[in-house]
Order: sequence, then structure tokens, then C-alpha cells
Amino acid sequence: MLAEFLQYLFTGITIGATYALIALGFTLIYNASHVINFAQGEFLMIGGMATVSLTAMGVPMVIAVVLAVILAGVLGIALQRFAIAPAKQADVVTLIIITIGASIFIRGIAQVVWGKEYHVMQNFSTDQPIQVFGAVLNSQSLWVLGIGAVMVVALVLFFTKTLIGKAILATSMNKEAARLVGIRTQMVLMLAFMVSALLGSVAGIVVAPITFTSYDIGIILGLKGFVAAAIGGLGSGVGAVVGGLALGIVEAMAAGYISSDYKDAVAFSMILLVLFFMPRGLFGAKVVERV
Amino acid sequence: MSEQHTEMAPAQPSSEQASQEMLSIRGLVTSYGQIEVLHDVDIHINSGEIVSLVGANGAGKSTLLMTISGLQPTDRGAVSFEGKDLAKIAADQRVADGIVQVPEGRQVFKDLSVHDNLLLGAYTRGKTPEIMDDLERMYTKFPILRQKRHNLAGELSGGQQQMLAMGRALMAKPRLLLLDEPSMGLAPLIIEEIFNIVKELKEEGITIFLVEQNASQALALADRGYVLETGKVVIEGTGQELLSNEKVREAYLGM
Repeated sequence: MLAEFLQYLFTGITIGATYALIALGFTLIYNASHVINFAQGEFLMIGGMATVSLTAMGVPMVIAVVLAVILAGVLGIALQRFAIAPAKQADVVTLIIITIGASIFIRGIAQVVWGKEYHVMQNFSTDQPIQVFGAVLNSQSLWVLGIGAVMVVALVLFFTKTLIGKAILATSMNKEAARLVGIRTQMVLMLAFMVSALLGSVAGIVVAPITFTSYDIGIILGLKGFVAAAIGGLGSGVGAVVGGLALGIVEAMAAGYISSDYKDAVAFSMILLVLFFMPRGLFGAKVVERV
Repeated sequence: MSEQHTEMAPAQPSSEQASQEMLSIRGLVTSYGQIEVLHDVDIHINSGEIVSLVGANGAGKSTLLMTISGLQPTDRGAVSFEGKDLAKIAADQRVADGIVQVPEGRQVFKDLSVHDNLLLGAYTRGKTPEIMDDLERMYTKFPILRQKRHNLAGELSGGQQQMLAMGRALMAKPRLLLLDEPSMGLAPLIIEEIFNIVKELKEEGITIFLVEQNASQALALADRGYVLETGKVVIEGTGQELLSNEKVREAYLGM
């Protein structure tokens, strides 16, 4: 009974931590530009797939991870430079559609390069599961949680301790005033895409040993991350983390106690429910958007 | 509405003007989409002056400042700063060069602390030790900001936010300070305080371009002034001349 519950909880927290990292990526770009970047899931795919294919080529794991993260970062910058920046006069909806187009494009390239099959990534450390009160904890779950926590702490430090982090926040609060103090807002946007890509690729890499990886995992993971961000309240960092964990746990419980067939349905029912009663999400800003 | 350009004062000798001219705007035309907002505006600001620009709501005053700051593109005409054409200079470089604006409605970064707002004012200056000295100077100039330095800027009153916006601009070390409606929505006592600070800044050697609907106080403070009506400069002269001008008195001073 307890073992069963713990088992579902571990699974939920692990996948929830991944959702939280994806949701943070959505939040970052949303704050910097009000764009919802539907290519966010592709950063996860790139992270996982690049790591798998590099290790298959004989590159040591650590170097493969670093290279995969850099590749995703470059992709994030390219997405902003070549897809978003040229359309700077366009409204937000157009930009969102551009990100959907970009995600299809990236997925297509990945399919050509890496093929359509699923790839397995080995655990970072031992394959030996850990027993906790009769429940089984995959050692990779600890990696997911640990690295997730490190990323969150690093983000908090970046935004509270560095001038460039504060400049990103300032731009998200008031773009015109940011330009008037001499912040290059295009550069800030590029940085937001880059950091989002880094977050996404790290999430994609740490979770790959648990979920497997393939060219098209970005769709569903990206959508789940978006659901998590919306539940938490778009634009709220705390909301992204709480929304991600909540979504992961609810999903795992539903899969365990009801049926795993309903796992995805639960996620999308949850967003409807939360937004019905709290249209701004759990931690969303109370104020109406100013003109 | 009068169309012609009423030249009030005989133009100053041009040689003297050229030697100390800081900002020069010639034949400036700018528009939002299809709608032309500024038509052929000519304004010059000499080093060390306070120049006031008065005009009704919608005359194009803020648009003019945004054009000087480089946030609003110019269609025709030229803006030059210390003899250098600004056409190809990006907004952030203009701040670094010393053209700094305090925008209409303060526009502080509401969810950042007062301290962080001030630090961001020095964003273009990189990391130099003098920034901390300047920060100290701001806290001395605006003691209320020192008291509230850990508060979020959005928690300050209107007058305090105005001081914060001015402090933030001063952190960039401006040589030309563009002030857009600093008295808007403030109580008379606070307005007086703000205008006293503007005078102090002039004494410190900062050139000031003051845009105001509050014409009487702005002109009383100014060395020279311009009246902008529907995107055109219609009257110019010294502050005193404008204050005693029939048309200005009637239209902007309510006398």
C-alpha cells in the first residue's frame, strides 16, 4: 500500500522535475517576449538524441553531454536570430506560429539525421535500483532531481545576482524603459532563447535513460511542459516548478491507480480544471496586461 | 490653428551658437505607420542650457524625445549630437554617449528593487568601481531612495517613482538629460521639489531638455523654449519671451 504509493510518487516527482525544467524554458521566453515557444520540446529531443549519437560514436559521456547542450544552445540562438528576429514587426500570435513551424522543421531534420527508431540511453551511474520502503527508486531519478535542483538554483542566482539577469527581468517588465537605459532588447531575447534551450536540453538528457528518446519526443514533452507552465501561471518561475511537479505527480497517480491509458488525458483535464477556476494559473500575475 | 512659424527672438549670432551647440534637430519628420506625427521640426539645444518644450497632449512631444533617444525611427531630417549624426547610432549607444531620457510616466522597473533600478541605470557603463560612488551620490541627492532601497519600485509613491526614474537616468552619467513630463500627476509640493532638482542638475553642468504640459513652471525655469502644436514648432524664444507671449499665455497658461 505505502510501497505502491511511494512508487507512484517517485515516478511522478521524477517526470515532474523534467516538466518543471521545460516549463521554466517556456516561462523565460514568455517573460522576455510574450511568445510561447512551441519549439521548446525540440530542445529536449536535441539534447537526448545528440548525446545518444555522440556516445554511440565513442565520445565519452561527459563530453557528449556538454556538446549536446552546446548544440541546443546554438540552436536556441539560431531560432531567435533566423526565425523570430526577422519577423520583429509581427504580432505575438504570428511569432507563436513561427515557433510551431520551427519545431516541425527541427523534427524533420532530426528524423533525417537520426532516423525514426527509439534510442536507449544508459543510466548515468548504476543500473541497480534503490529500495525505499519497498518501493523501487531508479538511480537515474536521483540524477533528474539533483540536476533539476541545480538548474533551478543556478537560474535563481542568475536572475538575482547578475546585472545581465536583472536586465532580462527589466526587459520583461518594461521593454521601452529597458531600451532607454541602454539594454539591447534583441540581445536579451536571444539570451532568453539560449538559456531556455540549455534548460530544455539538460532536461532532455537527464530524462532520456528513463523515457528513451526519439526524434518526436519533443511534441508530447513540450506540450506537457506548456501545461505545467500554464497551470503554474505563465510567466511565474515558482509557478513553473510547482506546476511541473504537480502535473508529474497527478499523472503518475492516475497512471498507477486508474490506468496508464489515461495518463495524457489527465494532464489536459488538469489544465482545463485549473484554468477554469483560476484563469491566471496558480501563481499568475494578478494585474491585467497594460497597454 | 496658426500654420506659420512665429520667430520670436532674433536669432543669436550663428558662430556663437555653433560653437556650443549640443543637439541639433533639422527638418525632422517622423510617423507612426501612415500617420505623420512630426512635420519638419527644427530645434537646437546648446550645451549647459535648460530648454523647455511645451505643447498640448498629442502634439508630438514624447515622440520627439523617443526620436532623440533612437526608439522612434526618423523618416526625414537629421538629428545630430555634438556634431555627430545620430542616424546610424543605436539606442544603447546613444545612452552610452550621454543622451539619457526619463520617460513619461516614470516607467520604473516595478518588480525590481529601488537599488536594482538604479544599478540598471548604469547598465551601459559596464563594471567600474565609480558606479558604487555614483550610487552613493544618488542616495545623497534623493534620501528617500536610500530609505526605500530594498523596496520594490512599484511600491513607491508617484513622486518617489519620479525621483527613482531621474536617479536611474543620472546613473548613466548623462550630458543631455531628456525629461518627459516629470510633473505629471504629482502634488504641487513634489513638483516644486522635482523642479528644484532640475535646477541643481543644470548647475552640475547637465544640459536639460524639459518637455512639459505644465508650461508656466517649465518656461520659468528655461533658458529657451519651444511650443509644439500638432507636430510643428510654432513659437520659439527665451523662457521669458514665451511667458509673456500673448498666444502662449492664452493657450498654455490659461490667462
